[in-house]
Amino acid sequence: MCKIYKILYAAVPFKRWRDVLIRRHFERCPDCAGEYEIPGEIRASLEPAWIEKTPSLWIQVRRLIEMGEKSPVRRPESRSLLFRAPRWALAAIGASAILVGALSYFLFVGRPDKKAGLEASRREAPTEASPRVLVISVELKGKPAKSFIYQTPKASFIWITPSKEIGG
Amino acid sequence: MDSHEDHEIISRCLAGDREAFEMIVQKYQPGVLALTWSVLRNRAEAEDAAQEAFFRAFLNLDKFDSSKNFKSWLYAIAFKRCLTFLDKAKTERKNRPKIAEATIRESPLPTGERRLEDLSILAPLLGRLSAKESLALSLSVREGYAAAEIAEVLHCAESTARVFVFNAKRKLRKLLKGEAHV
Repeated sequence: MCKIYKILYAAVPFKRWRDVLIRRHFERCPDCAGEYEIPGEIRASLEPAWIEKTPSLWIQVRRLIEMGEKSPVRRPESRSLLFRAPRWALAAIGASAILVGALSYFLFVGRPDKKAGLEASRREAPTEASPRVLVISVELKGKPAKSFIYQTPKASFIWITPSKEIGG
Repeated sequence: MDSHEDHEIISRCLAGDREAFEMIVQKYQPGVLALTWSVLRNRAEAEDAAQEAFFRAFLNLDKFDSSKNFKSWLYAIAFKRCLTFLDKAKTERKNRPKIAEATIRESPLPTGERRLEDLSILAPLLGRLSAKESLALSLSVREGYAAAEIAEVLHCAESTARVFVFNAKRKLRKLLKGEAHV
């Protein structure tokens, strides 16, 4: 029994290709072509005799229409655009939201391991015996002044400069 | 009555001439009944589903796209009604396959010659097909629909419709062979 059509149906991802390949297969495969024919008896069974003898349904249909006019059929409210979107679109939106969230986290918050390293170094910093400078007072021309302390990166010294006199 | 006349009747219905819809019912009743019967396998339910399908079609005539085939549109509505019927009756029909199987086994066929002539034997076999397979088979065999037209009714790809028809025929052949050996 030929199973090629099942493989084509399951494996070919593009609808158009699948349509063409399956149609061609059914046309050319002798095994499938034989099965595609149907006995006349089945044909007859698909349309039993009672169908032709059934009286017109118009009377019942008209009654339904009249009943519908008296008590109008309440149609469900149209769903919002989000829920009307096809499933693949919703899945794509969800996936891109997750991707954007993950990227943002890594870009702006930093990698967890890197962040943990930074936190650790910060915690370790006070334990090092780094020299401390305490400026008690700064005078400029004999008067108290504000001071600024500078240290350039990787420099082993600091600059302490008075800026201006307080109240001057 | 061709599709042009269908559109004329639809225009009349939309203009308020409700009685014009009777012509649509008369024209498509056998086709819709055959379709609903092929899916539901129950005459009373098939008639109810057909009535509802016509009613729904009447209510939604304003939504019908005149560039498309009215018959396929109507058949799609009828199929949806059938699915609703199947859903409603799902709990009642839980034992249906067993009953159908039992019926087949209880009535063994005396000779191979008789088997295909007796339509009452074929009916339960057709009941073994899925709703979509039954519909695809009915449309293909009875209406002579091509795969593309079946796909339009089923809202699926052409290849899917083709596979539904093929699977239905293959299953029936298999079932018939099985019955011949009972």
